[in-house]
Amino acid sequence: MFHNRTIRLLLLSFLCLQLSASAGVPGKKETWAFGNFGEGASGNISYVKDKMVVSTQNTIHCFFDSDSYSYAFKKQAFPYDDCSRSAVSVSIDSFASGSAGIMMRTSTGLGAANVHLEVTSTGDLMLFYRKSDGDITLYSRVGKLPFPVSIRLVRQGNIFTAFYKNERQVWEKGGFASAFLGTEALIGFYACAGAKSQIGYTEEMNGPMQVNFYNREVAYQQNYTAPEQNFTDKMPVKKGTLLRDNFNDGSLSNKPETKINPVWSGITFGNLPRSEGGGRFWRKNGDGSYYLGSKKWADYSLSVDLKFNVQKEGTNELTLQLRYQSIAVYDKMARYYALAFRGGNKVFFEKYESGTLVFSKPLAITNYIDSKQHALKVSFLDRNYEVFWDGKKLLEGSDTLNPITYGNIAFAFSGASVDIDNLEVLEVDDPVNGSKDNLLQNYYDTPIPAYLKKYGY
Amino acid sequence: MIKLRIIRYTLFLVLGTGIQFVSGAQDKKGAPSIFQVTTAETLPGDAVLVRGEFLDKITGIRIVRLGDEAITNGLPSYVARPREDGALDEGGTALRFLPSPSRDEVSVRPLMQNSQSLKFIVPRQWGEGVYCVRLEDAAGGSSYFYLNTPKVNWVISEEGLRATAGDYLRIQGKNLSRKGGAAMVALVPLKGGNTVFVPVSKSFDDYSVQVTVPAGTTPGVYHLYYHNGKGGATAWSEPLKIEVVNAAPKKWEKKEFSVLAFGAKGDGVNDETPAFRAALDAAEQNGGGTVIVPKGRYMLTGELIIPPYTQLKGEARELTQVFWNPLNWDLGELPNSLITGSHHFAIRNLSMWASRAWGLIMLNGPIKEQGNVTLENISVQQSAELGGMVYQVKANRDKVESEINSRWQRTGIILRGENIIVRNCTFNSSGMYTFFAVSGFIQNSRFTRQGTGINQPYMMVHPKGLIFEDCYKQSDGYGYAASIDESRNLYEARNVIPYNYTNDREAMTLDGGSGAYAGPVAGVNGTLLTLPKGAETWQWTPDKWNGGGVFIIEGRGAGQFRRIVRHGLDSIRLDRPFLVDPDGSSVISITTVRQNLFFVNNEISDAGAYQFYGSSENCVLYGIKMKRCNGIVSRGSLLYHGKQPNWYIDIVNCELREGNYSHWFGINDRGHSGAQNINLIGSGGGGLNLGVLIRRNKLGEFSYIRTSPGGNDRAVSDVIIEDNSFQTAKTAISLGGTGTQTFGVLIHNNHYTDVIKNVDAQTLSKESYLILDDGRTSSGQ
Repeated sequence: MFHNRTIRLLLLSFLCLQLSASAGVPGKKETWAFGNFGEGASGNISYVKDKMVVSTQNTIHCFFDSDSYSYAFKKQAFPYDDCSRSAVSVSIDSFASGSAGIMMRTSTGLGAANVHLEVTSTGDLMLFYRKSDGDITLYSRVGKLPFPVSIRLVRQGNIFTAFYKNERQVWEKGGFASAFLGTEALIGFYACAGAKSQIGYTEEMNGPMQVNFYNREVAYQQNYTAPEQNFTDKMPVKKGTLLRDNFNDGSLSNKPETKINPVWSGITFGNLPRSEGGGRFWRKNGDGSYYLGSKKWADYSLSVDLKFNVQKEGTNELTLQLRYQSIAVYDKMARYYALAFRGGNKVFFEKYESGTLVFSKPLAITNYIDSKQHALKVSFLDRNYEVFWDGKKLLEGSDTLNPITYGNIAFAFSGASVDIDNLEVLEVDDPVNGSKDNLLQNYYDTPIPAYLKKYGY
Repeated sequence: MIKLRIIRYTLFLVLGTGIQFVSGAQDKKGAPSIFQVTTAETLPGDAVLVRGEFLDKITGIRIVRLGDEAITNGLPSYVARPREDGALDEGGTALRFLPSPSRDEVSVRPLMQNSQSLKFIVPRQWGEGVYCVRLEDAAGGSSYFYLNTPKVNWVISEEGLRATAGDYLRIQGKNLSRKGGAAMVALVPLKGGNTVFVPVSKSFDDYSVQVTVPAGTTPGVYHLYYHNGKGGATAWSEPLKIEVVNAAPKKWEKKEFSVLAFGAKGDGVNDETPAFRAALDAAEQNGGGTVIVPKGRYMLTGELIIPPYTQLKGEARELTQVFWNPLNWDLGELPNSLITGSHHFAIRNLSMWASRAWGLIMLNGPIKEQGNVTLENISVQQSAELGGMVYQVKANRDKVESEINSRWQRTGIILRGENIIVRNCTFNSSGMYTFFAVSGFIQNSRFTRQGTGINQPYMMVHPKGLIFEDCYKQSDGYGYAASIDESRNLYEARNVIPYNYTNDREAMTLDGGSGAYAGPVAGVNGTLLTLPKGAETWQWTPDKWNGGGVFIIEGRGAGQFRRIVRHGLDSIRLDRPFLVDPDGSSVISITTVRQNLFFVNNEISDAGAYQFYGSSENCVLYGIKMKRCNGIVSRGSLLYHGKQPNWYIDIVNCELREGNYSHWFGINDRGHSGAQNINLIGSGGGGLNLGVLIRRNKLGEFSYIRTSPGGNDRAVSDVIIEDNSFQTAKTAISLGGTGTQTFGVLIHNNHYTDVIKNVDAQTLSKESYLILDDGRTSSGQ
């Protein structure tokens, strides 16, 4: 449980520990390791005034199955997951061919998990990420920039957010990705001579290239409050509880996992401040997507207390994904219903299939970023749904066209500053066929025929 | 035009008058007993193998060719044939004929005679036909058997393992088709009535023919006798008890339910699952029916269960497609099968498309109910690939393959039970094709594997009366199931099996089988066999091995087997007593039975072995054409904890060409690469490879024949290698092992062209083989 006064106090006393200072300051000695990785890769590093000059050849790119690159790097401890924050910034002059940028990775080994924010010689800016060692590399396009470019890669927990300076020299967010780099990672600047077909499969290499890095900055912050010791949750458990998290243990990941002590997927350490009453809540800042529950949850209601804090920066967006179904291989094929808080105080109930918006229904909520606590409840029974805000029903309906009838839940944050408390998922009783009709996506209102039960359903 | 004759059945048997029955020595203690004789087509000048016990007491072999008089005016009459798994004339009738000495008999010389086997050669100067053989013993007893008479193993029609009045009947066995012979079937009702004579209307080969059972045939139980047109009135087959039925009405024909009437659109976009299910439900409520799927493209998001007596019928497979949205399931969350059913259902005239599926068409529900399934004119495509850039990344492919591989043996097509019909279908699947305990027809279909790189075979077939013919099978190898539940009665013919480059590359294998025990017996009393105290058994729990076989592989009584009716830990109840009981010299093996599996005129190229790999009895490889393959393997050995015998196999009229073969690496791949060959393997014990006939095969371009015994005495024994033609070989026939590890090999009348060495048997003792090639004799005998 939390209270506004507590939040203010916490904000005032917020410990922001600056552990790393700027780098690349004229006259200040830097210590970067340097290496060339990949078959036949070569290159070197030098400094010309405040510019780090990296030359490289026989280096193509850092994605798919063939990492090859020249890399100026250093180790960085990152002990507290979402409570740790690393930001690396740099400016880059134009260069003849290939690509260059900021890279964070688990090791210099080929195929190591990594995230790299890359600008190509044509000015295309892309965010590449390989979630774990040996995994595939995915990417999203951020934009196209004129040289020189200034870019920043921020890591918070397992979330990596791209920034770039726009024409007004103001940092602008350019998308984010997730990857698992552990509690100690390499950070630094890389260059690749590139292939003549930069994105694709032609491996014919460009000749040697050289790139200048300057305005180099490395910053690290952490904000972590230890969990409660010997905590016992004495809150009564309601009948039909599928999941509950009141956050009072001060942890998102302590075990053993039970339905009243869920282990959140995708995050280990969260910022769980104490409220005035002695309980805890989760204050989520920044980006990230986190998953809970069973893929086979069918008819259920979700209730949660949310407080969107007024802030100077960030869009403060949250998409609560419900009956969430994903296909692990096919990254952009998720299906789910969503309570989407976005676009400057607008809230929508939406449906997505294959990553595409199917429908969007606006809710009569005029201002959710008000630093006030609100109670949200969403309920599903077969094809039917209801949405409540502070106890008032704002929406009800039935999705009869290919409804999504089961799935877990997820919280997807973007530029957020949200306090979350009293999350509860309760089973909704379905007198006709229970959850079987959800899994069959059929027979919602009539009993399942006996022969189907005999022969398999 | 089918010519029928129906005559009055009578118990009065006119044949054999004046011919004295001589019981022979089969019932006398210590007197010769015959377990097996050659059952392949035997021409003049061909050798014959006789296996049994006390055969060293045979003092004379007399043989006569029977006349080919017309059989149109007589009742069927037969001479019982020795069998290795039962007594003489078991299931016989009063129509058995008991031969007696003939004035036209001639004596022939026994070859390689010992207590358990002898061989002889049919006089070369005679014409083809049926020969009556009489074995005389020192005590004055005689035993008779016929050569070249039909041996009918099983029948099948559209109504299953029975005959259908007014419809065709397929008959499988040996010696069914003879040049110039007017083959005939006689159906003799058990409970009296007219005997029905039916001429054979179609001959596929010597192992399968077809007749049409007259429409007016009274349903009931009959004895089927078969005559191949040779040998006259007494040369009918032994009787096979069959049932004649009328064609059952097809319940699904009584009402149609169009999916359009239940909301389907066929536009490829609408989720048609509820409409399909509603139509199937309506058919089920009706007690069955036809669910019609008109032309169009239908998207499904869930599995379908076809109720009994229902068929799912498209307009044509070119016009009607059902496909499953692959995005409906997360990784590892695929449905058990896209279409399931239990029994009496059909899928016709449509195409199915799916990716990311485990099962495509599978049976479900109680196993005892499963069967009677028809797949006809359907095409099935299953690709694990969704395509696009995502799939071009190896890690993604690995995930998809892992998803399929996670439950490999429950992927693809799994059909089980009686009367499975798969006809005119095309399958291209990432999963397996499994036909378990099936009888029925698999015809004119194409089976290919949508390769994902997974190193997994197979098509798995567990036959119990299956015709598998005129199909194309390109995949990772084909297995014939070995389970304690016996595999039997397969006719697999005219299939094409090209290109097999993954896994073990086996084009066909009888693999697995395991075993429960191998060793001595404590005692035998009739059908009760007792194991020694402390016998080392494997997977031996009470009644687990019911239906399995007890084989006498060495010592007294070797060459016989019996089936297990039930058993405890120490004792076994057999289905029938042995002709000659095992004693202290004997070694038995308890393992699986796989009998009467016939592979005929199949073509294989660029593949590994076509092999009997473990227990197999009375199986046939006929007319197999191989190119650039590992060759034919006929293996009896200790495998998977079981001593698995390979007994009485015929490898005849096969053609092995282009014998240079490269397997996995081309070199150093456990000897798989090299020259294509017919390889008789016996390892892990004596008596495991017994009584194989290799006759009239053509081996070209370095193809050759060899034996590969293990370290045991008589591991490969009583082999006839005869009338084979070799064109270009280093060594045409290589007999492996030392001493008598390969034993009792008759090399007879083979033909060599451009061969450096005809026979290599340098390490064998001279009593182990006899060479009678082109009149030349060379051996110790």
